[in-house]
Amino acid sequence: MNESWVFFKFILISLLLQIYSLSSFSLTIKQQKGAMLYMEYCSGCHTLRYLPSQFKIYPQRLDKVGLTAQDAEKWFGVMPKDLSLIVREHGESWVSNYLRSFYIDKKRPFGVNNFMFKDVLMPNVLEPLQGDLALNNKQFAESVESLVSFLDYVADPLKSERHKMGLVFILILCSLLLVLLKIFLG
Amino acid sequence: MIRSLINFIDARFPLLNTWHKYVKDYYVPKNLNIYYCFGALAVVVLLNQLFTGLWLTMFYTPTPKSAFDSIEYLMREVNYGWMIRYMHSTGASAFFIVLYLHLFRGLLYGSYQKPRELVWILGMLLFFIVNLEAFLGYLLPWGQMSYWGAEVITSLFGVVPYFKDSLVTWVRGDYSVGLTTLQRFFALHVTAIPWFLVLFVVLHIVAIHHVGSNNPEGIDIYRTLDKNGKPLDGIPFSPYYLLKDFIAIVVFLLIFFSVVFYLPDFGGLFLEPLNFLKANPLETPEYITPVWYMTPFYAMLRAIPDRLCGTLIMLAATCILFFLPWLDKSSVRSMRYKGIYSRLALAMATISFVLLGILGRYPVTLSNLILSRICIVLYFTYFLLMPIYTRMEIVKKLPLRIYK
Repeated sequence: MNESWVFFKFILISLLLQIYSLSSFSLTIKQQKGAMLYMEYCSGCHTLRYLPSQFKIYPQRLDKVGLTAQDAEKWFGVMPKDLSLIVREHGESWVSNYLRSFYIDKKRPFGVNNFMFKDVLMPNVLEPLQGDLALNNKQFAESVESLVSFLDYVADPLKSERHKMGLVFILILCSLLLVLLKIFLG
Repeated sequence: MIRSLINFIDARFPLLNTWHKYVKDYYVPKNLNIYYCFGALAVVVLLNQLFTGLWLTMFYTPTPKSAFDSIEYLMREVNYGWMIRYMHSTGASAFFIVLYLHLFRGLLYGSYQKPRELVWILGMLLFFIVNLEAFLGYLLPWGQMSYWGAEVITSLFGVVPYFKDSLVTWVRGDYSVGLTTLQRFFALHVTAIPWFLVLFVVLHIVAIHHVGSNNPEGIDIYRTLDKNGKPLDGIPFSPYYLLKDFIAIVVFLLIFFSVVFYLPDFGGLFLEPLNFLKANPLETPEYITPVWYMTPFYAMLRAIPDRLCGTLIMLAATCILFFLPWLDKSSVRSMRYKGIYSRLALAMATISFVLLGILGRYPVTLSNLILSRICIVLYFTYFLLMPIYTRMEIVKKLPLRIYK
């Protein structure tokens, strides 16, 4: 077998391993913005049970909520759902569309209904952000995107690490395959 | 030094004998194609499930209160816990992909025919055990789909006449799926069934080595031997098929890890979205379907209005495969030499089975029902009419040597 071939693969792999370091629990700017929006609009009623324990962006605890079950039943009719896995359950685009699909419906207790979730018991919490739809739609869309991006992070915090590690694995396996094919095909 | 160690063991254990018999002097037909890799791949996937499963049991709690949470803890807090979990879930689906292809090879090349009937029966028993293992394992995450899938399938035991609901309670350990069910499914999934799996895999491999491998031509290589008694159309397993299987394993691992790292959900097929909700006995999901590898059988079950008949048809779909060596009356083994009827029948059965799998994922509508019933008929026709059409059809003349 050609020695330089082996050497080249070794250099390539070690270079890549140096470039990629496994850092844990880092959020992108978009996700950090989303976290702030979540704190402001969502954390009053919703819990995030499965937040990583090293998550120390805010002093407040996100896995417990001030809203008691009794009050929730009285005011909303149901205890608000835990949102840690909502993105894995429905997908990013569903959640994003849900937050933007509230419409006025006088028959409902809060005066709003939702295209994605018929007769939902949740009020349109992001109404202050919606503003004048003609002018601020893009900003609202961006805010929703960053909020959903944060929820996507909570649903799967180690996604970026997983992708980085995957690249290393795939490269090692590919080089192994090339070596084997060289032997097999002579 | 290694030589003296080998000699020490060999004087007390059939080490070199087994090595020669199974690897060095085991002659295999020279024309084996890609379909012949899936047996080795199945062993690789089994080992994967065993090792990742072992690590999962170190972190998993088999109680309804903590099962779901323990898995989320594993995914987030345990170093590489996510990798162990994804390898196990992807491995389960990979197991079925490999097994279905391995089985299909048997149908295609007549590997079930004499003298390999026992290999086939052991293989079918293995298929049944793997299905059972997958079903037991699916309850363990304690998600909505896990819980309700287990409720539906265990309730099927209620169709047995005379025993009815007492049998259901006996299987579950309680009136509905709960703590007792979870604990016993956990024990069976982790300890009992893997023992049977490993035992039957060993028996299956011993059986095939005793009679030698079949090949895509269906020609018996042991009919033409050279002066040393070795088959003229055979090559030793080592190094040729060791290398071939090794390459197949590396390619498989490439695809496997691509899925594990980049698409573990596989679009909701390997990890169902509804299973990311903790099980709620008070809230029935709108649609309850099993994982993709069991949907063909589920579609058969749903298509029959009577529960007892539906369950029997579902079981018959697997059981009839056991009888294949005796249903096939053809004088040749492989599809390459069989007539047009066999080819059409197999194509029809395969397409029906795949179609049933797709239909099983969707809710029951009239068109779904009609199509499922047609597919069931076509599927069983392949088997039930086989004694007739394999005798009737015109087959090609089988040569004595491969690539003469």
